[in-house]
Order: sequence, then structure tokens, then C-alpha cells
Amino acid sequence: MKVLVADITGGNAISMQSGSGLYKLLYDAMSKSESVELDFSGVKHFASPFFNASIGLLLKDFSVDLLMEKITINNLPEFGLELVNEVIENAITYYESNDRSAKARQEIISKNTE
Amino acid sequence: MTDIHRIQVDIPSIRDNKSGYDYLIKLVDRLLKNPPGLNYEFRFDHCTVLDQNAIAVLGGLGRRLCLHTRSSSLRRRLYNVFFTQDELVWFDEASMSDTLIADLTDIGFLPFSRGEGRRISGVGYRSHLNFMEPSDIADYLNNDWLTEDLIRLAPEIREAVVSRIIEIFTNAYGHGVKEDSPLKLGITSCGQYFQKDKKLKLTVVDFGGGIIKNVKQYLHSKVPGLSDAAAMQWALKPGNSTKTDSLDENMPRGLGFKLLRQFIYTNNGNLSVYSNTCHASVDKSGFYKVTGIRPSFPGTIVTIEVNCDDAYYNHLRSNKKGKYF
Repeated sequence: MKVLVADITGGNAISMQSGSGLYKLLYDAMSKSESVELDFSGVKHFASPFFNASIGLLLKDFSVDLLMEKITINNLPEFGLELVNEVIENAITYYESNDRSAKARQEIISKNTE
Repeated sequence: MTDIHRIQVDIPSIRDNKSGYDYLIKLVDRLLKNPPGLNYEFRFDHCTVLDQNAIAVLGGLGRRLCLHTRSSSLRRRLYNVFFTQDELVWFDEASMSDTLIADLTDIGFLPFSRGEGRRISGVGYRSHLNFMEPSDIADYLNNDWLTEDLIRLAPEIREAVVSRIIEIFTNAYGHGVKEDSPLKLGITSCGQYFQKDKKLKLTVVDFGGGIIKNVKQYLHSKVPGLSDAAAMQWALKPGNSTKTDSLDENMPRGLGFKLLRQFIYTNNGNLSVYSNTCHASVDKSGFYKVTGIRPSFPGTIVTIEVNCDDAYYNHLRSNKKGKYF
């Protein structure tokens, strides 16, 4: 599936709201194990809230390896690519930390109920 | 006849340096401690220059003082136009030198303070009265502010610079947007472009309570007794966010300050953040350094100095693959 990102965002891929629009498309495709080509032609400006709410949020349910396997990114300028990589790194740290917290909480609950 | 409710405030020259910020923060603290219902006359008899940080803070302070008034009907009226001679806050042009009037007119501050509502083209002073959609901020920065006529950058570099500046504005709007309208937050910005040095200076001010206050509220139950410096360090750490937006709680955020730090470091610029009792700046190694300030500033002042020369952005033309994409 090819997604022209500008159809969702117009020229500015900035807000969490437009990121959510892209997230839904990506989530559906990845849930069906479909590949997605993201074409950023026509998008000029990028900010972290957009990528946090789209690609970053995907890492809650999918591994980064699967993301790299299923998603292809085209026509994204260098500074946009830098941002995507930062967002992914941040998301991995965030969800790993959440997992550790959840495990720690679970251990405490288990100990208390023994 | 002297009006006992009119407070005269004598403004000196204020530069974008430590003593300039010290003065501005003390002034804000002093005036906001006054009881409501007073009128303010800002005089400029001894002022020869105001840098962009001073203009942004004075504009935001003027709005804040107007909102400090007792009459809700007047307050509503002030939502549209204020700063005229008959109103609560008056910037006295008669006390200004011709040069200062010319400078403040060019930068758009005096047209605004006269209530003319005239928009200037290019870098200058803005008071952000309405909530701006992020996409509108980008269009505004690109089309009205960093105009191609003024700042000559390769298109892809201009887009990168605008994108990073957007992070500052989305941060400002996020500093309390859940509770307060942008009007109440008093977001103002002022930029100056120095053609000879190809340097852009931009200050964005909000009166949204401040980073430290927001972090302490957010972490209150998890980390009681957090020091101010630790709260500021927490806010600057990548991945940390007080989640002042309205979307999915369980979503990664908190990259704005890291992106700004990297951006400033790579183009050899400067970044300064004043909020509550702390000041953060990027040191020579590209890391944040936090120091204490007094008194507390009830919001956030972010100032960046950016080199607008294509030569500083060669890394954006490397076509190097990143770690993931």
C-alpha cells in the first residue's frame, strides 16, 4: 500500500492529530502484515508531535524490526529522517521503561499476594 | 493632576544578555505583585535600545497587567485591542527618541501597542491572541516571518529551520494549554534578523505558569519534594513530558528540548530558557546547563540565536542512512 502523507497532513506534518490519522492507517496495515510505502512528497515541515503520534506510537504494539521490514519511507528530506530516527529511539526507550515499570509493579503485587 | 492609580515605569536600555534578563524578570515580579486595578505608564526617556527579548517580555507583561484588571467587561474588551492611551497600560511614545520609535515601529511593536492591528511583514513582534493550529504556525513562520526576501537560505534548509522553530511554539502552547487559552497565557514573540552576520534571534514568551511549576504538579505524587533544579533537569531530559496535550496518555513525547539543543549545537547558535527559578542554556559541549535565578518568572522565556547560513547545515545534505530509516 502506498500512502501519500500530504493527503493526510497537507504541507505540514506537525500536529499529533494528523499523526493520529497516519497511525490508524499504519496500524491497520501492519496488523494485516501488509507493507506500506510512505511518500512524503509535498510535505515541507515536520515536528516531533506528528511522528510521536504516528510512528512512535506504533512501537507500543510492534517491534522496531517489524517496522523497518514493513514500512518504506520515500521523499523525506534529511532533517525529517533525522527526526524519525530520534522519535523511534525515544519511543523504544519509553516503552522499555514502561515495560520495566509494569514488571516491577507486577512483582510487588505478586509478592504481596503470596 | 497626578493619578494615584497610575504607576510610572521607567524602562532603561535592555539587551539580550544576563543583566537584561535579570532586569526583565525583576520587573515582571515587581509589577505582577501589585494589586489589580492600577494603570501603568511605561516611559522610555533613558532607553536607547530594546533587544528582541525585552520587546517580547514587555509585550507579554503589558497583556498580563491588563488581564490583572478588576472589570470582566473591560477584560473582554482588552481581548481585542489594548495598550491605547486611555487603557490600563500605556507605552508612552512621547518619551521615546526618534530612533527608538523608528526601531519599534519597524519591528511591529508600536503598531501593535497603538492598537492599529497592522501586520508587519517579516521577522518582528507578534502577540499570539488566538490558539493557532500547528499547521497555521508553520505557514505563518514560513510565509510571514522567515520570508524568502529577508533570509536567504536554500529551500530545504529553510524548511529545516522553520521545523525546529515550530518545536518552540508547540512547547509554548503546551505549557498549560489544557487549562488556559493562549490569550491568558500571553504568548508573545519577537525576532530580529541581523543581515550582516546572517543571525536570527527569536524570543518566545508565555505566562503559562512555568516549566518547574508544571513539572512539580505533574510529578507531585511520584516525587514529592522535588527541587526546582531537579524539576528543570527532568523537563529537559529527552522523553519526559507533562503531557499537556489531549491525546493518548501512553504515547512517547518529550523530544522538543533535545531537538532544539541539537539544532543549536550543530549550527553553533545559542539557546536560553528562563522559567520559574531556573535558567537553562546549551554549553559548548552541547549539553544543558541549569543555574538558579531569583526572583521566579511565572512562565517561560525561550530565546534562540540561529546562524542562517547554508554552510552550517551541510549535515542535512549528507543522504546518510539513520539507525532505523
